[in-house]
Amino acid sequence: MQKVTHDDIAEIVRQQKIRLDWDNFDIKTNLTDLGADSLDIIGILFAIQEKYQIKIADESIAAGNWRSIAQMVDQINAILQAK
Amino acid sequence: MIGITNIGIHIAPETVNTVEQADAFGVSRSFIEEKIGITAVSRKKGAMRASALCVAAYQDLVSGGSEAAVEGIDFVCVCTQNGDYRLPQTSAIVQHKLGLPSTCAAFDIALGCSGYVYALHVVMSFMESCGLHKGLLFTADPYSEIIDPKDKNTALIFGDGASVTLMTEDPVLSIGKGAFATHGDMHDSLIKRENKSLSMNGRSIFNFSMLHVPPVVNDCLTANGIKRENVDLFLFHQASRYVVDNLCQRIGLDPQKTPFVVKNYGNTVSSSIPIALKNYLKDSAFRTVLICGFGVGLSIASSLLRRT
Repeated sequence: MQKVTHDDIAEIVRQQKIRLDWDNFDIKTNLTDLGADSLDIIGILFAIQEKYQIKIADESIAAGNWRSIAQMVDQINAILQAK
Repeated sequence: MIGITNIGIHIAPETVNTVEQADAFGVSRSFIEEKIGITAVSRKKGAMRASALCVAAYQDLVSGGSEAAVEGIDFVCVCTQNGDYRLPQTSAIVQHKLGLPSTCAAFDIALGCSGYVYALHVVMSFMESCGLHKGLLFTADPYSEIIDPKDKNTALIFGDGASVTLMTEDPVLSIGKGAFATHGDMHDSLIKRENKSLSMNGRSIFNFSMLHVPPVVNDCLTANGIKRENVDLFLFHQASRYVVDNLCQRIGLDPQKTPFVVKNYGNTVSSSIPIALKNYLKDSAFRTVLICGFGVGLSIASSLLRRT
């Protein structure tokens, strides 16, 4: 199975039309530090769930596993691999 | 056929400015203004219970000298999940407070955000099957009684309000076919447990709304044999601007036809649709209105209203 890439998730984030500080963008930076709010994150995670047909647990979000694009990519690939 | 003849509303006059609370809740002012879209939430006086809100909505209905229009009421229905008491039914208290005759039928419907749409169909069917002529359908869910004012998931969203819909055989709007859905597996996403405040999982409600509301809207359009471009107005439950805007975009609706009107008083649960609908009731430019309530349950109900 082809792995999800940082570009894939960055594209999803861009499609959400969020006002992010792309000048200081780094895949390891928390999206909230770039200007995303809690509803933006909900929208991004919904789009990820829909695109990859996965379920993201509330507990995993609360544990801080979905804050940056790098984290998101790692989590998605782990879920897809376990499928 | 029984349908909607008039609507009275009550929005609790006292408000809490949500924008001023941005710092306390750790969110930005723009988040409240642009994303949630609710800059003030209405708050009833503490002593006012659901029945008092219903009476205030009734007073709006009969204001302007239309008292005669409500003579001969033979049915009262109250849609609420926060009635005056666990028992008796709030509709009996409202019947008493309005001085309606003992021959009046009365019962409650315990539904939340989908309640108005469900109740329209229940009331219409009940009245027609029982030969009743003039009914009052109230909605009143004073969430200020059950929310924690320090909980940003709910305190920045819910307001207190009520509505009454006069339903007669001479309606302004007829009620078409309904479409409904229930996702009981998600019931704990919006729940009031014993001795606890209301708990809402915002992410779960958003996911539910985006996944499950659009198919019900499409089912409603199909059931009523109408294309979306021929509907003049889509009145969604006024959950938050973020939810309504995303639904509009996801279903592919014209934003001009999908208003969000609760900026100054908040999400009034089962009252959000009738309070919004009142704005369009007398405007003949709006000939077809699709209404869709969704939330507590988790439950969805949609129907098509046509000007007669």
